[in-house]
Amino acid sequence: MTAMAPDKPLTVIDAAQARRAIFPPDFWRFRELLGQMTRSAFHAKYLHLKSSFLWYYARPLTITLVFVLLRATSNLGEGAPYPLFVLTGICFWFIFADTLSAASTALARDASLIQKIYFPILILPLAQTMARFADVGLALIAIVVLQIALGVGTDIELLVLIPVVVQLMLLAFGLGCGVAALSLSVPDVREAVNVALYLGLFLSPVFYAPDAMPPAARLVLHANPLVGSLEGVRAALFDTAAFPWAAWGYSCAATLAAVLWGLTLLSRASRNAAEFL
Amino acid sequence: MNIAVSQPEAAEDAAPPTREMAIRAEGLGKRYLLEGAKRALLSARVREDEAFWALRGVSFAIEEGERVGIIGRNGAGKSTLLKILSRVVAPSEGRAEIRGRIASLLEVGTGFNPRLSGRDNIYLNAALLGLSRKEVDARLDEIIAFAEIGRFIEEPVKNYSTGMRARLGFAVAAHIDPDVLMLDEVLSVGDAAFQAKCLARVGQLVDAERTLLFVSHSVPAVRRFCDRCIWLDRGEVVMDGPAIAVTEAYEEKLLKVKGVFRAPERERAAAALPAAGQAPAEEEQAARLVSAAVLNAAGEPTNSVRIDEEFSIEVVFDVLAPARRIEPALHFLNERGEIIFVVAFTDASAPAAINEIGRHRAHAQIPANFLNDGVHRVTIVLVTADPLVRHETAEKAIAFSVFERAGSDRVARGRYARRFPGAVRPMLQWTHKRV
Repeated sequence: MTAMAPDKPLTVIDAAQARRAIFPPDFWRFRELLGQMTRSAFHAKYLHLKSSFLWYYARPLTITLVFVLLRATSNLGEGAPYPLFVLTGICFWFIFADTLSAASTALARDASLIQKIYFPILILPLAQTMARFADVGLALIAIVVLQIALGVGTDIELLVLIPVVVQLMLLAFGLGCGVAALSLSVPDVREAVNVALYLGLFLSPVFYAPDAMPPAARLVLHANPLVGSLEGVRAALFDTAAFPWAAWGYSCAATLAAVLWGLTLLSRASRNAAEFL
Repeated sequence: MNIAVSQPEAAEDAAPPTREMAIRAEGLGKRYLLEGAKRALLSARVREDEAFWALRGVSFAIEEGERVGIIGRNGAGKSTLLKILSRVVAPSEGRAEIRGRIASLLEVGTGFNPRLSGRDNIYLNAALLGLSRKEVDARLDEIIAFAEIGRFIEEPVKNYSTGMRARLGFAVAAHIDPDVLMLDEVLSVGDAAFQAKCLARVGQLVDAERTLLFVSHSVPAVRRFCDRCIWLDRGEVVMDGPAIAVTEAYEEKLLKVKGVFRAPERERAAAALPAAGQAPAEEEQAARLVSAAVLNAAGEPTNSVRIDEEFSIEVVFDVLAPARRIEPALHFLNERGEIIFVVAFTDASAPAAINEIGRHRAHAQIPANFLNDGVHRVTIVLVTADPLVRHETAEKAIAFSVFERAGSDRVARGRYARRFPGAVRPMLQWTHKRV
């Protein structure tokens, strides 16, 4: 039996490996692919319509308008003027929800690729998540414009904005990976997630501040890791409230758990993903 | 039903003394779950009756620079094997090691984003195959030129025709310069001209000491590009050895292509022939076929012949009655069973045909570069020409396939890479001068 040349990369395929490493040794070789897929996802979302950028604003602006009109009856917000409060909540909620659904459908979307070419499948949800950072930029433009118009100032806490946004995206990415892996064997999961996201819009501090709620409800609401993230974004942007360190700490812990859960499921599913799509 | 073929045929080009191992597979198997057992993705415990084996116990070792064809019927496990080796699916059992950069082309043009331009899609596709941006930059012009996309390169791919997409896809894959290239029927897409170009490119790649794994239904393509062949059936290796020997066995089994015809009881009956001058009963058969064979240039029986070598057809027959002017005739049929030509007995040394009782052996010499490639069958007739009496007709008694090897310069192919239509492919004497 002849010896193997030592200078060339060795690929080992072994049935005994129960799962595929989620970061295989050749992951770095595929960094180019991650960039290309991100670019491709970005293209798909923004560049296929002439005014996609304007359409992006249609949803948060109309919803904000509706709630600003409703607000005449009660005071649900806290700190920042209510239109700014709702717009921030709406924008970042949809960034979270859209990223989660994009990541969770990433495998199905590129099923034909997975069935024909080998590459680390983690790249697909990761690329979808990265492309959504464009939403963050668009949202911030609208929010800052309104902030200036309403004369709301900012403070040193603005520095926390980046970690909070990264945490929010990682939470969506982790949950998205888990859902993507689960939905390979149980396709119903995706429908359940759609319902959950719809409910989540009302169970998260999008239209109201949790502290404006009765104490019993407040306790339940704080189990939602989005409380720390959404309140954190507002506190970082505006000088009207102190940063909710405790709530955000809980959000970070939940994010870590979600990412570990998602990557574990995805690595278990990745071995035979091609057969289940 | 394993048939071991240990000694590869004499290699045409001298092999370097030390060959490194490129692919080693040990007991590879793939079990697919039937519908209903799919829940098991995350648990992995499956009942045997909910699964079937698409591949089982496949082992082989391929050295660097070997060109290996994988043939077999639909569902034999060819594509499954390639998918395992290209890591698209994981094996259920066994192990494989592959040395060097792998490029597998399971389908041309996978992974195009229709909204991106051709140029952007080259980068995307190349990244899928594991190429860095820098490496693509260095090959970009070559790829664009090969794809013949022209000014459409800046257009979104959704505006491309199917042919343009296929060209672009193959162009990328053909320029990634891998150590191990795996192709799965890629040549079945595109028009004839494009296929020709792909074949030519595969030929170039193959020249450059690359390991090639080529899955195909097409025996001529395997013979042309591969020096070794693995025949799979029902997920198992039936035969592994020199491309010609394996494809011959494959054709013999599937298409009943067999170059030798024998009637053993007639061979033994030679002693019982009537002595010369002894008149046989009137109604008895005047002649009968004993055996027939296709003989290669070296005079050995064979099932396949190279297009650029002459060969002969041997007919052995017994003449049982005197003065009947018996002669053999050959009907050549193509793959579809149509007669392409008939050959009469024209041996100048037997002007009055064959009148003598006894065993006779006749040879018909067929020149090199005469028949086109493909499967041919021969019906052998023992006949008296005038008045016409057919004493025996052995329908499609023997069959053989004519094949071509890449790189031969004695073939009538000229500069064309495509498959030649028609029954014959003669090499004619051309002359030309400027007038």
